[in-house]
Amino acid sequence: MKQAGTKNTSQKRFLLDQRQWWLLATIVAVLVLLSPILCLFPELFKPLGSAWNNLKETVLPAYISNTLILIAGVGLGTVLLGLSSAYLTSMYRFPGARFLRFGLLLPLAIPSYIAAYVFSGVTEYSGPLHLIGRGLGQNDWHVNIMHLPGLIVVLSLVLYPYIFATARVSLESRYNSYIENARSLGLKGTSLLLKVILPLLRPALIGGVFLVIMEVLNDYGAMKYFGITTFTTGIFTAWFSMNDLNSAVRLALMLFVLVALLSYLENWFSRKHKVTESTRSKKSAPKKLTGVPAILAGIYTWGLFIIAFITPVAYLAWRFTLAEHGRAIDEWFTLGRNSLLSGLAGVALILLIALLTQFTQQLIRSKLSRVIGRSISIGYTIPGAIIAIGVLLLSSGIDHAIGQGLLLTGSFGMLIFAYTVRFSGVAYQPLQAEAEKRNGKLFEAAQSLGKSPWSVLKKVYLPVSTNGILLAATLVFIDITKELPLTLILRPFNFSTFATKAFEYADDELLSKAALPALSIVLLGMIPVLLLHRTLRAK
Amino acid sequence: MSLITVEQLDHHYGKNKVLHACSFAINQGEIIALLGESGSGKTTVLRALAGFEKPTSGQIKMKDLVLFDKRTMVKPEQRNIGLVFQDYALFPHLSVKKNIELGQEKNAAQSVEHWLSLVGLSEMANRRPDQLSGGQQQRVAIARAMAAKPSLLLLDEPFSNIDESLKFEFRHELKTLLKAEDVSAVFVTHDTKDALAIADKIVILKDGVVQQIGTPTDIYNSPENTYVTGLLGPFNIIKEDAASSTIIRAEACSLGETGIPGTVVSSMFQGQTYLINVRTENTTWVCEHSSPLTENTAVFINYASEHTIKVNNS
Repeated sequence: MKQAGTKNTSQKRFLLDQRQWWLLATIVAVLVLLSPILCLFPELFKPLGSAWNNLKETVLPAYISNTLILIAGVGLGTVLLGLSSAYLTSMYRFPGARFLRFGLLLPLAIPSYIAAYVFSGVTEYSGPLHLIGRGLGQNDWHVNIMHLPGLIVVLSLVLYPYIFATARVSLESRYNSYIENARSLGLKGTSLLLKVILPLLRPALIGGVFLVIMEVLNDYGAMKYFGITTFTTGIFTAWFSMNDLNSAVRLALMLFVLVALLSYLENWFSRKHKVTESTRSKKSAPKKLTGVPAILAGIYTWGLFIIAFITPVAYLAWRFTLAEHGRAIDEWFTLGRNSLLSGLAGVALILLIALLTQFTQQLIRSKLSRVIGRSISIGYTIPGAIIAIGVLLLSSGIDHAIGQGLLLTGSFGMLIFAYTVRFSGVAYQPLQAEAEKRNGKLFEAAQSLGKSPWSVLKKVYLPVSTNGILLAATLVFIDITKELPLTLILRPFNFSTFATKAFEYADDELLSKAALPALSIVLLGMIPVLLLHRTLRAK
Repeated sequence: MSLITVEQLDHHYGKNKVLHACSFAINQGEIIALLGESGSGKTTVLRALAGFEKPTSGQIKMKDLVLFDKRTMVKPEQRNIGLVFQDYALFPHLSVKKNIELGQEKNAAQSVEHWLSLVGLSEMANRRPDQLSGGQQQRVAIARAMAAKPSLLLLDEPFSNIDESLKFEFRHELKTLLKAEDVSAVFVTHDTKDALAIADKIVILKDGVVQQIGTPTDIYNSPENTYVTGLLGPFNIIKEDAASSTIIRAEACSLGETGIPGTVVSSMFQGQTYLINVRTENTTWVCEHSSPLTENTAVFINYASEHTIKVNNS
C-alpha cells in the first residue's frame, strides 16, 4: 500500500506548485488578452484636440441617435421575425416546416456587410427587383432601401436567426413540459402564446437580443455601405480620415460603456426573470395545419427563407457569372491562402489560451478561476473596432519603447493577437459545455488515482475534450474568416482576406468582383449553422 | 493509531454552514458508513477527505501525517485516497482494462487481470464503458480505485444506481471484496439498510452535525436521540420531557386483546408484515403486524418494557 505524501521533497514541492503554475499562466494569459482594452483608459486623461470638440458639436449627436435607433430597431425586427418563424415551425406542421427549422437558420451564414450590398444591389435601379418591376410594366416603380430604416430591415433579415434558434430550443425542449401542461389545462392559440409561451421565453429572448445588439455594434461594413454614421463608423472616420487617435479612443470608450451597460442589464434581467428548465420530455408532435392557415404559415416562413437566404445567395451567384472569371479565380487563391493562414494561426493561439483557461478552471475550482474563465469572453462582447484601437495603442506603445521602428504595429502577429482577444470566448464556450457535460468528475477521478495535473491534462482532459476542441476550432476559424472591422484596421500592408476584399470591392461598387469572396464566406459560414442545427436537434 | 482522524471539521458555503465540529476516526480495514439525509453534509465530508473540498477549519490526519489543517492542504493526487463516484466517472475514451491500468503504478504487484477477475469482468476487458451495464460500470470503478492501492477508499452513494433486486448481492460482493483486500473504506449513503448491512461503524450526520457514531447494533439498540431512532424505522414516543423521550420501535409493539386501547386508522403492506396506524386516546401509534386490519377495528397495543429505549430529543 502506498503512503500519502511520501514523494521526495523536491518532487513534492514541484507537485504542490503545479496548480499555482497553471493558475499563474492563466492569469498572465488573461491579463495579456485584456491589455488592449486596458490600454484605452489612459487615453482619456490626455489633452483633448480640437478635432474632438468639432466632432462633439457636429456628428456625435447623430452617432448616438443612429446607434440607439439601430439597436432598438434591429432588436425589435429580429424578435418579430425570429419568434414568429420559430413559433410556426416548432408548434405547427405545414409543407416544408421540417426543412425550415434548419433553413431559417441559414441567413446566419451571411455577414451583415455582405447582406447590405446584396440587398442594396437587388433593389437598386438596375437590380433584379426593378427589372422585374419594369417587366411587369411598372416603369416608375422605385424602391430605395439606402437609409436607416432600410438598414434596420437588412440587419434584421440576417440577424433574426439568433432569436429563432433561442426560441426554437425553448419551445421544443427547455420549456416543453410547461407548454404541454398549459395545453392540458385548456389553453391554446393566442392565450397560450400570451399567457405562457411569451413570459417563459422572455429571458431567452433578452439573451438573444443582447447577442443581436452586439452584432449590430460590431458591424462596420453595412453601416459604411449604407452611409449611416454610428459610433463604429465614427471610430473609423476619426482614425482613418482625421488621423485623430484620441477621438477614436473616446468614441470607442463611449461604445464600451454602452456595451457594459447593456451587458449589465441583460445579466440583471436574466437573473430577475430566471425560468427553471422543465424536465426534458419527449416533444409531442406539432399540430397539423390545413387549408388557409397552412397556406399563410407556408407563405410567411418560405417567404422569409427566400428573402433572407435564397435571394442573397442567388444574387451573388448571378453577379459572379458577370465577373472576369480567370482573374477572379487567381485572386480567390491568394485571398483563400491569406484567410486560411490567418484563420489557422488564430485558431492555434486561441485554442491554446482557451484550453489553458478551461483546464485551470477544472483543476482549481474556485471563484478566482471562474472569474478568470469568464474574463476571456469579455473580448467577444466588445466590438472589433474597439479592440483594434486597443491593439494599435498597445503595439505602438511597445514599438515606441523598443525604439526599433514599427516591429509590431501593422504586423501579422498583432492581427492574430487581436483575433485572440476578440474570439477566445468563442472557443471557450464549447470547451466549457464539454466540461460541464462531464461535471468535472472525470478530472477528479483521475486526480484521486494519483495523477498530476499535467498527466490529467494529457491522459484525460484532452482526449475527452476532442469534440469540444474541434467545434471550437471550427467556430473560431469561421468567425475569423468573416471578421471585417478588426482585419481592416490591423492587417499588414497588402494583406487581404475574403472579408476585406469583398468589402473593398462592394465599397467601390464592383459588386461582380465582390461576389466570389462573398460567396466563399457564405459557404464557409454554413458550416457552423449546420453544427448549430445539430446541437439544437440534439437538445 | 487510527488510519484517519477527522477532528473538529467545519465548512461553510458562503453563509451556509454545512459542517459543524465534525469528528470521527477510521481504523485500518474498517468500513464506515456516513449516513444522513440529503443536505446533511455527508458528501462534503467525503470530498474533504479526498482533497477536493477545502474545509473552513479543523484537521484531517492520515496516521500522523496531516492532510489538512489551517496550514496544510495535501493535493488530491498526493493523498493516496481513492474515490468511487456516484456516476462512476469512467473515462469514456479508454477500455475497461485501460481504465484500471490508469490508476496503477508501473510495476504494480497485481495485474489488471487480477482486478478484472476479482470483480468478475475478465471477459469485458476490451469493452468501452458505454458498452457496460450500470452494475458492470460500478464494478470497473471499484476495481480501478482499488488497483491504485489506496490507503482509504471513498464511495459516494455506491448503491443509488443499482436496481433494488440486485442490491443485496452487491452489498455482499462489496463487503467481501473490501474485507478480502483489507481496504479501509468510507461510503456515503442515505439508505439505512445499506449502512446496517455493510458498515462496521456508522457515522450519522444531520445538518452538518454528527449525531452518533457506533456499530450498527449499537445504533439500533441504543440510539442517541429521536432523529437517529427515526432513521432506523418508525417508533412511538411513550413518555416525553423537555430533554428526553422514552420510545418503543414499531416492530417491538404488538396488537392483541389487552393493552392500550385504540382503533385502526390504516394498514400499509411492507412485504412480510403490515404497518398499522392505531389512534389511541392521546396520540397515534405505529405497530408492525402480521396481517392487515380493516379501518376502525378496535385493537389493544402491547409492548415489553425492556424494549423501550430512552433517547435525547433532537
